[in-house]
Amino acid sequence: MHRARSALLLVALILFASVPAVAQMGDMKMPMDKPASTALTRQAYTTNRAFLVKIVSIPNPIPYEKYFKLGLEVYDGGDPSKKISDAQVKVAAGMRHGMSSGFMHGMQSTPKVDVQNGVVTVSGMYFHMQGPWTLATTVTSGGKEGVAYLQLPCCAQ
Amino acid sequence: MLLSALVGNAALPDDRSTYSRDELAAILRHSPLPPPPADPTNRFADSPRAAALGRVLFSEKNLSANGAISCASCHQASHGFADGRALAKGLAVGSRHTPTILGAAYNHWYFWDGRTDSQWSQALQPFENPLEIGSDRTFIVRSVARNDELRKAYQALFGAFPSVDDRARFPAHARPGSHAWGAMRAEDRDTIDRAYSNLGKAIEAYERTLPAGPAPFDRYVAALRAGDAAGESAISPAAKRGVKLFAGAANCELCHSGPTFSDGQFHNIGLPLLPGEKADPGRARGIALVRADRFNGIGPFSDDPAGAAKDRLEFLPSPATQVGAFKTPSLRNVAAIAPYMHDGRFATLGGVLDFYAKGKAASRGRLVGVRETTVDLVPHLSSRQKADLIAFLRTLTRGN
Repeated sequence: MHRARSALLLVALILFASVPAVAQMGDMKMPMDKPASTALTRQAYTTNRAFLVKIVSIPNPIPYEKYFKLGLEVYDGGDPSKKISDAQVKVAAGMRHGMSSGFMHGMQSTPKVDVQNGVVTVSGMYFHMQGPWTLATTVTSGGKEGVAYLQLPCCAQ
Repeated sequence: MLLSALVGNAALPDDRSTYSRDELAAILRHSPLPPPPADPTNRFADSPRAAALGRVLFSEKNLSANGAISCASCHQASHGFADGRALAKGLAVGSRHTPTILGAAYNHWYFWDGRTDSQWSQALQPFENPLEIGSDRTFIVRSVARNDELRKAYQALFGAFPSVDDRARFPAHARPGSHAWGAMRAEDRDTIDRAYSNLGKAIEAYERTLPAGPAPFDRYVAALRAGDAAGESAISPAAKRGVKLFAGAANCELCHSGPTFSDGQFHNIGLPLLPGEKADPGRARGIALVRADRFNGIGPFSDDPAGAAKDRLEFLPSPATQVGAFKTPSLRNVAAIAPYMHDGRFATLGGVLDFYAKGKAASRGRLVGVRETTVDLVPHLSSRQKADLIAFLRTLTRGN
């Protein structure tokens, strides 16, 4: 009985702890005052939930101070099984402390974005600081626009 | 002494336990300093014969406008291959501090604003800067042609020296922007540029032979790796406290990373303009200049125009994001190359640390561009912490 109550309490605690994390997946705007996980975010909704952005290819680990490519796919936020092939995508990246300035001093490169067969290839990504980076992906399609924030951990040496 | 001989090193405490896992990982990333990376844009970069020619050119005053200045005038061995002055002084005083050439071979970008992308193309610009050597490429190539020793050394490396005796085709003085240069035939300008670029490649070969390390810090890290507690005495207790701060709480590590203690990139740290100082756009202008540089890594004189230089130039950041940003200097040999910052405003390392420790308060005044928030990650530093950091920075001087 005591053991069952403890198990229930444990489950409740896990559920409680996961609520903000789940909410955060929908809105990847990470709070600046809390330490973030350093793990890779494989997918994230745009802040208005109009689109779901998935990373489909990325070097593992991400190289340090070397250019790399990543592949993205965009899905309808209302129906995540529906891939959007004509989305326009823009990216910016920086570390969390640079979010307030829109990553003005973030990545020291201008990545090129190429869309073919519904796969968005971003080339010219370049990380020069160790730690978690945030990729801001701006998606425009069907008269809607949204920004998804994906976390990318830096780096292998 | 007897006790230590009896118990051996194993009984001594090991410094590794004093660092967190992240601090230790960061410290280990700083050492050893590997050999300089290859420079495929210069196939003579590691040629000893090119280095021998480059060494002579580096100190050759007869290539200057007044016969009294050479590269060595500002890059003096006694000042860590810088000049010890706040602002560079050649034929006149410039607006920036002379960076050291020690460890320059590890860079991807040169000058404080990264306006060249190779060490050989960097070496060419001071020759024609009116504030520095004040000469011109046609005079320099003709001077080498007339000097038997230099001409033979050149030919042994690069092949036949071009015939530049015809004064109608090759005027005594001509450089881009001058009337005489504009009046030359394109093929003759190419002839001069080819020989001129080769001279730069020889100078790079010489500069690559100047070692930036190892330093006591490298001996310390080697001892850390080996678990050699006795070897960890390579640096002082104060320096060890400084290392811990540097790689941890002080967040210096973010920009001063890796074996060179530099990310090789450009940052606007919010230095307010000094009285009378002109606004310097820094990297924002450097981007335009490196794109336009005929001697850049994808240009006709590069030995690897399709290599890594291509990516670096293709993916350059927007200049608008780089106003007032300057290159993160390496901290190797930093104690030997005072003063500091792109305009040499701080005479001592203490002055530099005071600036960072003051946070936003140190950036009051007129700023150029937008100050980066990265600077705010440096916490307030006590006097003792600053002294510890300086003790650590002094361990980065080669051969100490």
